[in-house]
Amino acid sequence: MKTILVDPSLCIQCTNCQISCKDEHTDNDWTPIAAPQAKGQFWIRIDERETGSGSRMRLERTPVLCQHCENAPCIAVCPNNAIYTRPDGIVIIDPVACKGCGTCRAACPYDAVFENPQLGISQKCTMCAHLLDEGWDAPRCVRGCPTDALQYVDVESLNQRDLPAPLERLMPDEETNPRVAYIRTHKPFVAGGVISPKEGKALDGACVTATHQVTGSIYRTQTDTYGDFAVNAIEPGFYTIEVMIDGYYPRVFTDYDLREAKNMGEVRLYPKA
Amino acid sequence: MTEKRGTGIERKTTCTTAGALFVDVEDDRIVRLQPMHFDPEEVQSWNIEVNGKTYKPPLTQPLLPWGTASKQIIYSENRVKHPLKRVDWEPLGNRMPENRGISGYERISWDEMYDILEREMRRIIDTYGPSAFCWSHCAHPEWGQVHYFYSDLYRFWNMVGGTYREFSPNSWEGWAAGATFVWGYWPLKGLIPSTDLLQDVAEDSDLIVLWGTEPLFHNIYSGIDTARALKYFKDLGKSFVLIDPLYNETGLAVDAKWLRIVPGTDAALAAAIAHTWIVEGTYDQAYLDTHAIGFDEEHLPEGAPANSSFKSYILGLDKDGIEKTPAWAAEICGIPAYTIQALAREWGSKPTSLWSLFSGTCRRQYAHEHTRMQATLLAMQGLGKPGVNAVGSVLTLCGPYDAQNQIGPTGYVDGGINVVMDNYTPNIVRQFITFQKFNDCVKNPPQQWRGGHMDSFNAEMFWEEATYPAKGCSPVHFIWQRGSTMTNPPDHKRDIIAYRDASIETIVICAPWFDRECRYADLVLPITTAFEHQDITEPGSVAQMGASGMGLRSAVFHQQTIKPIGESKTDLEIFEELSRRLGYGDTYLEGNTEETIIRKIYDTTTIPMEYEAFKEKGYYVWPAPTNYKPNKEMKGFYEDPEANPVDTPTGKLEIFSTQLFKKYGPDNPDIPPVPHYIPEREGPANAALAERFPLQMCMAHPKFRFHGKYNDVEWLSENYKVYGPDGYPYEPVCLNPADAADRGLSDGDIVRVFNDRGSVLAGVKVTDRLTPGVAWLTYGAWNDPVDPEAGALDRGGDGNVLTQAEPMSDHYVSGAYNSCMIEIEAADLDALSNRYPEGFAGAWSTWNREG
Repeated sequence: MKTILVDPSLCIQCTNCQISCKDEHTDNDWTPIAAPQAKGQFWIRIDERETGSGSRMRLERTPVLCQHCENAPCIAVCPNNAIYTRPDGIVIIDPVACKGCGTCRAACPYDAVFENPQLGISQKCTMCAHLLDEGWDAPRCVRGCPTDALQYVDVESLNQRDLPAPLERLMPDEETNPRVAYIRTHKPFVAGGVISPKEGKALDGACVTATHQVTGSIYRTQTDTYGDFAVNAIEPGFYTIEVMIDGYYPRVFTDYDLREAKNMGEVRLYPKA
Repeated sequence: MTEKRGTGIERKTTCTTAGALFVDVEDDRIVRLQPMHFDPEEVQSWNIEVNGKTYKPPLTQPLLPWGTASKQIIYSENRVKHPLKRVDWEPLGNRMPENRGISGYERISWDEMYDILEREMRRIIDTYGPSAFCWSHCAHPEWGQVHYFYSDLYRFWNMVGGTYREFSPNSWEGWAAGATFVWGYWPLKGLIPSTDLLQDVAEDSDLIVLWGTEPLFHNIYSGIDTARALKYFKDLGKSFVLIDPLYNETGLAVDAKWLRIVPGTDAALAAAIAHTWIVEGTYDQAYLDTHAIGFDEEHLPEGAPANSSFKSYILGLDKDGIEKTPAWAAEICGIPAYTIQALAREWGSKPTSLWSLFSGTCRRQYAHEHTRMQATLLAMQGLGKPGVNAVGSVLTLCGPYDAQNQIGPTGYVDGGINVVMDNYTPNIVRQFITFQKFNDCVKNPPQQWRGGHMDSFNAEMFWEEATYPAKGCSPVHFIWQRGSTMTNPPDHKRDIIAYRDASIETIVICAPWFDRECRYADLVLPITTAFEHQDITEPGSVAQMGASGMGLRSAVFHQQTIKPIGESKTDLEIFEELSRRLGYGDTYLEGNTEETIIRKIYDTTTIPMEYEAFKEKGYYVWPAPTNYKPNKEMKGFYEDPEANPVDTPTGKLEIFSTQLFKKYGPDNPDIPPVPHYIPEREGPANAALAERFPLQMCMAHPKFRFHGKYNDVEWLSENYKVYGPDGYPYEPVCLNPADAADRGLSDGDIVRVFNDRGSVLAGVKVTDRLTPGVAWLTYGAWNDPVDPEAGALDRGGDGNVLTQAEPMSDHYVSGAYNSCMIEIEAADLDALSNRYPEGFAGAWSTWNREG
């Protein structure tokens, strides 16, 4: 069995995935898998979010599509039994049986189901099942991706030996058990630049230690040649952050709010007398 | 491969500016398009291996987003489907030139069109002579070798004769005007070929400095292909620094250290980097001694005044007496002195590739100083050493690549069908107009200027004196243009004014889509897209620069995927018909057809297939070159500069330019013999201007348009336009949060962006991707003036309404439009729509053919 593996860290929002999907499904009728996609639908979309700030900002992009859940809320709520799971795990809204009542759209935590007002039905990603059934080796979005942010992989390969980063699922708290897999989703970070204003220089090699004040998790890094540091992929929460380097008075920041990513700006250290 | 898929769907092949495609067609309707994809069995790939990590070109060919959206482009409602004539343009009566951009169009037959064209062209020849024809083209029409401007268009107009309205190399103006004087490379207008840089960077560059460049979305040819290469470099542990007012897509993708620079101050930053290297001794003095002239007083050319070396300028020992310290530069460029010093130290300690060729920094006032300064930094670190390279955002990262017998279009080289024809004559008319002088030539002749050519093969050509009208030539009265390009040149109300001049009797545009210039034309001819005719090309092939060299070398047969839309024809058909009508007989095609020409071009290739088999399959992938030995361009010069000199009078890197010194003397404030930082006339240093227009405009390329093409494609625009409360898709203007807050603006607000040259409406996007004081409004949104007067408020939001058409400097006639100061204020849409009801109803939209 295969599924889509998403690596958001590689997404450049070229939208080739989205446009490939529209190319395949707009004005083309692939019933019984899918009726033509209506204008303004995004069976795969790129969510964008800016984090950090100033020169230490990041633009976090996440491709989101139907997660083809094992425990699909849309299937559970459909009053017409129009949504089903194929043996290969793909969740399909039957375009003939669907009455367009919208219950599934409200139930989907990923906002991945859309209304087609012209046809009076709900629609979503089919993982291009009509093409896979013809022998295609990947859905259109994956074929269109020039950065490998989307890959079509064997589910057996979703293990710690074959993946370059831990396997994740989108919104695990929803308990939908998605079949679509993710690695390297965006996580909070804290970044800054350590300088000695007195000497007018960046401090290379300063140690930065961030300690989660509730869990006690410790993250460490060092500043680079620009005095810059970034502590990546931290647990959200409140932190004690210590910045130190030989010959300078250390700085300690407590109750530092890292529930969201943050640019600390310049951290100024002064030389010991 | 033309493959029956059992369902009536047939797979065809073609290639666009966005990349190579498989096109699935059923009953003359395109069902789907996808990037061309090779089977592993048909490919003998090359790969690069460094530190146990492998880079292999992808089997799926890179395709830019508008290539993927081709279906909406081909079937656009803005296609020109029939020959059109402006309703109140009467070739035998009143031509009403003042109504260009105002009146609508009526459908005429091809016979009527040909009759009008034949009569008009004969009249022009008889009345004024062929120099009264003015022919031009957009920069990037449909991809092809046969159906391409350097091919069919050149051939026709060179045969008839006409005044060429010429582009300068405006994608890399500053390099053409500056770096050429340091290292030559005149045929490439100052660019160093990218031969084998993929391997060299992978193996030996530890630091990559992206200076104003955006390789990932430079929006042409195979750009998006760099994504995997950049990831590869990152996985190899290379550091990335981005120097740019915008945290661009490449910077985001590689998580580069971002230096937020004040636009136009690049040369000041470069001077301070050089200062640190000189003071700390972290540059290659031995290399400079043997490979360059003018770095220090000991290596000045004969006749140069004392203290005129680069080192004297940097250390403040020359006339200006200012030491170019990091603290000095920090005040100008906005980057802290400690960061400048840290960058200089990292760069001075690691083999570094400077990714700087092309870029927005080179289309600014005094940009020749920026490029000469960049070349000087490269010289100081031993340009040509392993890992020390000049790299460019466009076309310039090449792997193992054998460009033997390459099929074009070969970039900016005359060729196409002319390569396989028996006879080809150069243009009999010696008059030309460089595009930025068009308005001046029409409105205020006579005009004089120097250079402005696309091709300058040496400094003499670069400085060639031009006069208009040229001796024995007529002013222009008849314009023929391929494709629309009106959103590319700066301050284009000047073009509108020229187009409405009574001396311009006839304007003809040949284009697949009705937009921009079409609205100012008298006759519009419907042209096929690459999907509707046959051709043969290599994807992304721009031979001299080694474009597609990052991928598998392939050739594509453009199978005609569908019948021409409406009554559209190829330019070739139109030119052939006009040639016969004008009495040229067989001269134009020499008895050939599209098919026989393609066949002849095919016979010049090394493809080991029968022509019919190639045509049927649609593509060929060359195997990786065997026994390939990398030999990057500057390696020979680095190893032995005497045996492999660069193309300068001394054969060395001329940090002190002997040619500029000879031309301008030691004291020309616009271009001294060694590169200087010169504050821009239109920049923050101009306090009076900055007070009224405090923001600098950044014109980084549009991500979802090809310059001005595809502005109307919903699958692209729904991802970037800002939809106003009136439902109109406004062009985004991106602002730093501080600048937005200063003006009380937030996301989605519709604003007026303005300066003394014009004003546009745009939709606000607030983002930390912009340096404070800089607003990103790009060009290419189709003009939608609210009023017919030239210079009216443009609801479309094209940045080139605001830019200036002044010369770069005393040295160079062209290309300083990125130096542009603006202000932004909230727009009152209700008041505007009440004041301009017709304009807001689209009366003068440049895609409105109804009038």
